[in-house]
Amino acid sequence: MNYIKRAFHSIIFYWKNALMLCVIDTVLAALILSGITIYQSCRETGNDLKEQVLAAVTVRNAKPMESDSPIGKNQLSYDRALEAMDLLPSKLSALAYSATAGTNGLKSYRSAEQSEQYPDDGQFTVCGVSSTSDYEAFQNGEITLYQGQHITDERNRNAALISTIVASQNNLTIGDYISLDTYYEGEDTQVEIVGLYDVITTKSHTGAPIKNTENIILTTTTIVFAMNGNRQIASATFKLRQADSIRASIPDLEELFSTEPDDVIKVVVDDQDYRFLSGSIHLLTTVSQIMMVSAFLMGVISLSVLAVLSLRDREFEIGVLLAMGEHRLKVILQLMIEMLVPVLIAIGISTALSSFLSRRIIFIFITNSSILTETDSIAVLSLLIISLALIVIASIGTIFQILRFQPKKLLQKMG
Amino acid sequence: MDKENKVLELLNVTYYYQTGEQRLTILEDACFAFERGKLYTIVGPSGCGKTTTLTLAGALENPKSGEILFHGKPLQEVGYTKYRSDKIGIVFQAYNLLPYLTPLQNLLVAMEITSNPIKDKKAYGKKLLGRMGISEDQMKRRIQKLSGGEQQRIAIARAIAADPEIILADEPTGNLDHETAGEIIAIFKELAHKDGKCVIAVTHSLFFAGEADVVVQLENKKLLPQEGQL
Repeated sequence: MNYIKRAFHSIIFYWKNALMLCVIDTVLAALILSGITIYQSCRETGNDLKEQVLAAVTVRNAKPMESDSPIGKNQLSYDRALEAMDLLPSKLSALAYSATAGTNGLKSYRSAEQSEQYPDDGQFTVCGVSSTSDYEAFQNGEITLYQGQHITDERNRNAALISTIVASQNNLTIGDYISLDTYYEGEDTQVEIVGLYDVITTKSHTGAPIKNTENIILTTTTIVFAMNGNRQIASATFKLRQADSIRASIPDLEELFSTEPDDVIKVVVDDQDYRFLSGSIHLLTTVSQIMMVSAFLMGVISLSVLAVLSLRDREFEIGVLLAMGEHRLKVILQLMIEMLVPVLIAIGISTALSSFLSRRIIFIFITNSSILTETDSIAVLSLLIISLALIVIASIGTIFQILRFQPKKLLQKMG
Repeated sequence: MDKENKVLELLNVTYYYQTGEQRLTILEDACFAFERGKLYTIVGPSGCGKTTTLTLAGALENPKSGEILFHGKPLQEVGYTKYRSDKIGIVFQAYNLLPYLTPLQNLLVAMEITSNPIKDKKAYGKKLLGRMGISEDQMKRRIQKLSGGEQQRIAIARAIAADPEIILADEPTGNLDHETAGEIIAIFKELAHKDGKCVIAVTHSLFFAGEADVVVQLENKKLLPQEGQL
């Protein structure tokens, strides 16, 4: 009958104490394990956020235009934007404007008021974008693709998207060609209509018809560069991963794009989505850490108290064992095993509960959370290590007392 | 005194309790030798230090001065834990069996702790319990379901389970009726005379003291032998 067997017999005999210990341990272990699970999930989700939730950095040159500048003059170097790609490993979406007039009698859209004010017909704004789907009006839902396909610089150099209204009033459809004239020193060019867009949010039609959303012809930057005779763009938007480190690059971008003394480079960072989500993740991480620390402290306190109480009830037994020549270490180990067994059972139960509990806790803080909570073996192993540490810490008082026990005093007390 | 029979010897042992400036001396230069094959009872008025003497003999306490020898060797050299686990068995007044174990398991604990070689521990434990009058059925019962006399018999069996040379008993009949006490005393006598153990019992009972081979009177801080019947 060694100390291990004694411990198991004792657990069975004092089953009420063991059960109480098991219940307390289960609650604490479930809290610790949920804390670990949430913490791990938050870390993984946080890393995923950096990869998946993109932030946008838009660079413009706000240098005041000269009074005789044509409408839609671009002031930012496309080549500098390409250089910036080395600085910011990201997807570049460049926007270039070219104000132009449609040939072949292409009519622009005008409201009744505009028809009176602006008798001249056929002025359009040609926007060159790296990818039409990245165009701001598509992104914010102002316009939507009605028919056909989006275009990219690489795939459709001579392609264009026009509004359904303009297509309708000019009897144009996908596959038709339109001529784009230029006011600049560049070349006139022909483009094929590959898609039609619908204007969803109609802005007030005041001012020149060229500014109407319906009168935007979307094409590639390559076309606009050809029409403008230079490689200038209106703005460069970089879509970036690792949104948390984006702001540190602003000074470098400003320096890179400033080519002339009167340049006023404006860098606008849009990382709201990332900040909102990472804020929630940060909150949950803090909650999980608080859960773990408080459950651990509660565990230390409750297990220490239980261990000391249990020791008081069993002083005689320890006295007898010591008087019989049992080593103090084995007496300590017996008591620790008696504490460990309920803890192991508690770990088993809490492992089964923790995924559910973690989801409930996350739901309290984030109603529509997509954070996946699965308790993995690392979390369980961490809990096991924490529990062992907890038992050792909680046993310190007991160990100290047993080391101080004088069997003679216990013998006299019993007598 | 036959030197070979001398198992335990107290040599000029002094022991006292110190409370602040007050000192209560229990033993002062006390000398006594205990032999194998004899039943000793230590008697004296309450509070004179009988149990303390027993704890000194059991290496549960060290003398303030003097030496305790086991077969002529100081206990320090034997090793206190080894001495307790292999050389002595203790019987307590309140039995102090482990309540979560059966009688047989209580014996197995003692056999596990000792380094004395014991073959087939379970069979040996059953044999010892049987010798103490504990039936097979009682061997499997919980301790609390047994009478005081039965528990004391099991406690004696546990004390001899490790086959020690010395059995120390602290008021072993203190909680028992006269008839049961008689049975327990008979067991102690048998252990001394048949098994050759050195049995040292502290008692208030004149009846028990009268049955001993040697009555040791604790008087004037000395251990004084009174051979034969009181």
